[in-house]
Amino acid sequence: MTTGSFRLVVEREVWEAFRRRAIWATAAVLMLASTALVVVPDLVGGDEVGQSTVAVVGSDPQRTALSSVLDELAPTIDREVTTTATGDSRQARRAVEAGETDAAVVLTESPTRVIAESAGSDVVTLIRQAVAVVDLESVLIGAGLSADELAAAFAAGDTVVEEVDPVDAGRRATAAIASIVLYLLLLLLTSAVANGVAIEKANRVSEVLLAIVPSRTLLFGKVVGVAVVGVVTLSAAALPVVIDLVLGGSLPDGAGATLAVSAAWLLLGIALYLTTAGALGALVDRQEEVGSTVAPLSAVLIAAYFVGVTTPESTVAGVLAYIPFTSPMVMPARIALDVASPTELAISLALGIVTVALVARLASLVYQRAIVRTGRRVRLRALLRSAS
Amino acid sequence: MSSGHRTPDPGDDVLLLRDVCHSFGERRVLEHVDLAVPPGRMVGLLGPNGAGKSTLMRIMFGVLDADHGDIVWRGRSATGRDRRSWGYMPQERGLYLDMRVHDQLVWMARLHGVDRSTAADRASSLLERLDLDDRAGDTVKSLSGGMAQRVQLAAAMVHHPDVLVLDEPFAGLDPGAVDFLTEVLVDHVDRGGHLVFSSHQLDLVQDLCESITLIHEGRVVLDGDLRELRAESPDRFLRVDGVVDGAWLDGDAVVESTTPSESRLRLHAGVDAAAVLDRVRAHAPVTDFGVESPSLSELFRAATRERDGQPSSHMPPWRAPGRTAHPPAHPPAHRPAHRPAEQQP
Repeated sequence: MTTGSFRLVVEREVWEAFRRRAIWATAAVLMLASTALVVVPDLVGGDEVGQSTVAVVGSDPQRTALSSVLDELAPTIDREVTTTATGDSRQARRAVEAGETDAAVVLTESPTRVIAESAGSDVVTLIRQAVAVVDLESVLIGAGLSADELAAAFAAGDTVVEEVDPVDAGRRATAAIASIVLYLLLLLLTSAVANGVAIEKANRVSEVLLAIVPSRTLLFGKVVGVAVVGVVTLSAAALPVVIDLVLGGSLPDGAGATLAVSAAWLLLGIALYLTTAGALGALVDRQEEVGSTVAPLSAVLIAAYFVGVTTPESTVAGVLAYIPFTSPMVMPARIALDVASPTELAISLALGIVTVALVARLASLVYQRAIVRTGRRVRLRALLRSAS
Repeated sequence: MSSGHRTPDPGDDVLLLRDVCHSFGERRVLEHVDLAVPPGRMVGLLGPNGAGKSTLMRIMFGVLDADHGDIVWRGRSATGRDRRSWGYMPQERGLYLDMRVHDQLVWMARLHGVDRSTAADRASSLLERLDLDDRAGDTVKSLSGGMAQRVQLAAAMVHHPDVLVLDEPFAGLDPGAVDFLTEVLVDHVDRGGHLVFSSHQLDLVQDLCESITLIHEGRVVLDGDLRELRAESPDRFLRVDGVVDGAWLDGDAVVESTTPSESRLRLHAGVDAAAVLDRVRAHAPVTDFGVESPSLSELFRAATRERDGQPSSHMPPWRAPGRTAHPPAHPPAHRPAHRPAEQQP
């Protein structure tokens, strides 16, 4: 395999792919989707602290006491509350009605009156809790508790929350995204390689090219070319995320490691699946037969994806993590959820690399023999028998 | 690959296929086939469908591996690098339909080792010569069949190959395109290039080729210099205008072919052509006639009949299987005229 002709075969694949509008449309859709994932949470205030204003009717000490409690309670629901003094309940009502303030509290009435558009809003709940605390403080002080005793009494009420599911939602999201991206990419690229080879065989371009370059150059040139196109297109989706990171954004916990490992298994998956697809594409006589020929390969991919997404921590997933044709679908999720041991990673990767070498040799042999057999579909078993 | 079979003498500048054998499974498609392609001569590879011509060409280019035999180029076994410098046009045309014509030619030339700028220049000039310069930016699928055929030829020639191998290059071409392709091929051999092409259009081959190799059922049944083959054949044919009834001929000749305007009579050995002509004239007026050597089609039929074990006129013993014509040591510098030698009574 000469470097020059290999480079030319890859170059043609890439150049011709990017000459088609479809690839640019795909890249644009991916980029828009990725941008939406990055931007929309910010727009809807995902991590931002909500701002609320509350008008208070009452004396300065009453307002100060309420404001102090609201400042303590508001962060528990990701809010920041600003209180303003207002003259009477009528003015307070007008302010709420005009939308100048989110709610109003009339501390001069008994019971304390809260004015808001909706009785069930977060701000109303917050105000009711704050008023209850202020009232309780007042009662306790009236009962003769000192400031220290009061602080100790409230501190005793602190709670610790124990999460039943220790895995961060961000990690699960990362695993899910990594799995689906790998799955879709491998599915699309596998189909692209098999169809590309079948078309070249059907319209006899392969015969012209085989007179110029070795068969393995054609096979691996196509595999690498299609892979480059796929990865470059995928990078359109990664671009908004990278820009967000550069601008100070951050990834969920464990996402960096998951993505790095996913990249390694993506390369493994590309090498295995695309090389196999190239050999299978050479078996057919007409492009229409490609679907049925690569169906077993697609079935393995789909099954592995299903296990990786639904039960990545199961024993089945643990076994599939060692099998080269299924590990690319299972391993990213297992890494994200921190259930894959370093030994499992090392063995799985080593098995994958060895299998890539074996599959490349076998695929090269199948392609070389099948690509020149035209007129009817070539049976793999018969081909291998004749090869031996 | 080695050969225990008789082999042509390898000349320094002759492309030789020696003792090539190939099977597809149990089916033997080529048996001890020899072919010599000297420079400056147009060599025709003939044979009926399924004779093994395309398989032989694919073996020449390493697309298929022969079971046995050797391809000799410049006195040694041809290498992948040698083949890369040759030009090949397969019978079933192979082009990327979605690729632009000029881009495709440049890419092909670069695969053959030509640098990008030279490839671009050659592609442009070839397209201009093939009258396709205005379609250089179009995709192949937008071209007509004839145009695509010309692009295919351009793809085989864009790297200026010394050896040009064309499988059925004239198939599907209109007369104008045939003339044009002929001109291109003649130019190639006139410049001392090697050229072998297959065709089932024997009349065309007769006018164009200097040497032929006829394959039938995987074996060479006839080969050599076409003029010599025709001249040395003991068969003679009497051509007369009008329709001739075989019963008029008293067994001295048989009607080989007939049309409403002309009949062609194969004379038996030693028969006087004038006597046969007189018999015909006794039944019908004759205004035009001639005694001719066998046409290539007739040589073809005779050779294949002999091979099939059917009664033949005279299978030339000097060209029977087992003997192979050697290319001349010094091929003519210029392509000679190939019109059949005709004898007028």
